Amino acid sequence: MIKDIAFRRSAEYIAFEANTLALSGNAFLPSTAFVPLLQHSGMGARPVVNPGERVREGQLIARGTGPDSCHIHSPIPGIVQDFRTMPLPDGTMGTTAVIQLSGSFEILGRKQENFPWNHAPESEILRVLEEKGVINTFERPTPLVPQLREARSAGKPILAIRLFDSDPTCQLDSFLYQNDSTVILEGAALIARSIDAETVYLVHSGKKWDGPEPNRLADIFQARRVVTVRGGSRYPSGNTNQIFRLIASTEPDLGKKKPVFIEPVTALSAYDAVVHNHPVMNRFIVVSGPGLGTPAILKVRIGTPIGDIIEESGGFRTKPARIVINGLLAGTAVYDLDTPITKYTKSLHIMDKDTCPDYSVRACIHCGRCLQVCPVRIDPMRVVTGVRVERFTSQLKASLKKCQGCGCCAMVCPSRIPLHHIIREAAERIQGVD
Amino acid sequence: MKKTGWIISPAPFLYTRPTVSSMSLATGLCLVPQVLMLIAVNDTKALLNLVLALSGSIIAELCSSLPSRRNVIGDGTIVLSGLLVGLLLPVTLSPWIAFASSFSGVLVARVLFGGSGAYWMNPVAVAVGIAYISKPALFPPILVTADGIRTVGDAFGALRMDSFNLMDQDQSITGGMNQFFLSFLGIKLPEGYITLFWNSPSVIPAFRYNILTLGASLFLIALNIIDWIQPLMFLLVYSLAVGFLSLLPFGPSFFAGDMLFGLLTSGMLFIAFFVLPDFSTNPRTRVGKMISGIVSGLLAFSICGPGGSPVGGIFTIILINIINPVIEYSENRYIASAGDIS
Repeated sequence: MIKDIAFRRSAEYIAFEANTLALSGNAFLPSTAFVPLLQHSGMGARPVVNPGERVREGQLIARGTGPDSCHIHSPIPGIVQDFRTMPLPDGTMGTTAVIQLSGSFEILGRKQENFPWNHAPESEILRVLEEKGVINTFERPTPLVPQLREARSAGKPILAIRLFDSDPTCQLDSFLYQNDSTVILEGAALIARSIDAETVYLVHSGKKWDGPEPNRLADIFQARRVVTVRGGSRYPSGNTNQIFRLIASTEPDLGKKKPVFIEPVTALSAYDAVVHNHPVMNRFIVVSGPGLGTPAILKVRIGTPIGDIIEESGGFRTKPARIVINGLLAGTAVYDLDTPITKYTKSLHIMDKDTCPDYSVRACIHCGRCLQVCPVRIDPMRVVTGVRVERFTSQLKASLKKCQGCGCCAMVCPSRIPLHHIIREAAERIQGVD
Repeated sequence: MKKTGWIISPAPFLYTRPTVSSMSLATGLCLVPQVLMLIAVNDTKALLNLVLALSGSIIAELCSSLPSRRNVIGDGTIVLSGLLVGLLLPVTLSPWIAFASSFSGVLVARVLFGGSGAYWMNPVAVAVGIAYISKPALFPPILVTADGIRTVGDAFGALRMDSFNLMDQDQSITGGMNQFFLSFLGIKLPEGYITLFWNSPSVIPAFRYNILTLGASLFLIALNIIDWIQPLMFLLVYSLAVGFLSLLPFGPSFFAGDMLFGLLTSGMLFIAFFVLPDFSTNPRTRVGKMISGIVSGLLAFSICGPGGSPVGGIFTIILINIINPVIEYSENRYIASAGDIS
């Protein structure tokens, strides 16, 4: 099914071949899991096990070293073989614990706990979320609990949950919400409780809210103020800036408050951690693309090599051109089939030669299309020219700060100039200098 | 081991538009039917001009790119420029002048200004302009004269009076169209327009096959290769100006001008869809392109009048290229202020 993704500005749209997806259940357990010790931005965790040591399913194998670091748990029972540097799904290299599957399961196949969180103290929920290594995958992956603590200490916290994908080609968040809205909303509700949120925003992409009625929402969110807002179906619609603007339009005294933004994957992780007492050990992954045998949504153990998942989904249908992780608009291409699934992995897209675009970068032809589509009305090519000659005027710096990194400019560029990458890299650079 | 927030990846993996090379290739393919027609009618002079203009254009680019080791031939735009120059030069011109004008036009207007995206004068227009200034006598005269129009009352009538040969099929096709389609609308198409559409009698190859140009324009617009707004505004304003004003000097007759004649005899369609939309020489916003299109339509009317001019369209392009930086300056100021507001 060809799906058109319309841009927020201009009449441009991207045609994307969306597969009809259905949950295919649990993926096979990996015989060897490669568990990265750093699965978010920030600092990596410090290993607490040694090579040769036996670990249980869900056992802590690396401890977070500070507020920007998260605990890591073993997704399978087995023996730690080694700590090895491997390619990660975000395109970087990182240390992974190599765990060989052996021994019995303590979580899989056992009756799940059902913790009544509704009356649990807020601090207890925060403690569990921290202990189970929950991260927030709303935009760039970050540890969840420090964000929650910061929002709570600022007073009158606001929680916003985006119920759709910020990259529509990823499809996971929308799928999870549509298929298990009760669990997702309950996960959001327990996060709201953990910060004693004053208001909860449910940001949806439909024309009107078609979820639970207001009184039902009041029940789920323990009589907190719940506001449903339409995030829009055009791209980009689900990033921090867009949702912040939506909240600001309905929240007159927002001031300098920093709402906590989450999405269904984070809500589901929180639910699993608090209600079932499970550490983050698996992720739902959308596996699709024209180069793949059978598109599917699988529940995959963290550390499973992507090659195993592709094999389970019918293998490559044709010679693959690229394997893209986390969406075709904002994702990353990986080159190694041993690259493991991490806490921030949401989708795998196998591109074949026909669908893989030509990346040869040419000189700008001055077509102005980047300018016409930019949702924050900056002039991307002019900014990039300024960055190239290193003329960081105040106007250029303002434009750099304004860029959301959505990539619309690059998507319309016939010269294939990676405009948003150059802008964001320069923005990071001036942030460091300023 | 600390990670920064932004990781460089080749994303996006989806694009809305074809690449520059594909755009050049598609535009080039749109010109192939016209070249095939030249082969079919065995117009060796036109073909020779085409080959030499193409060579001139490529050699001009090579002269500049070889020392700096830039690969600019690869995106195909230079080949396209050569093809367009070749098609816009009259067959009466010596092939060596075709080579020299193409070489010097591309060198002066395109290469010396930094190549693709950096030049502000259309190299095709400059090349044809150079050829015209060097040998104006070898270009055809304006098709209709003021005396002719005054005598007959309209531009096309003046042309028909002055040895205009109709195609053999013109009479039967015009008759069929009038009988089966146009009579329902109360319109009667005079004989001769089918000839102008299909094989306009011109020594400039680009002016001949208007029907092929129209077909190609649909293809270019459908594939998003050109921005339709600018050619559309150009053609609309020029046609309206011809319709409303072209016969005013000959009497108080508003809206009596022949728009079809104006569009089909000065290569306006070819210039509107193949030369005018060159991104490098144009404003970047839709409003800017629209203004540029309107101004160029007015310029075209002031230069070409009711039609039939051999180089009026080309000088229109040169003039609008001079005006466009002013439009772009205002555009940039507006963008900067709109950016501050948002």
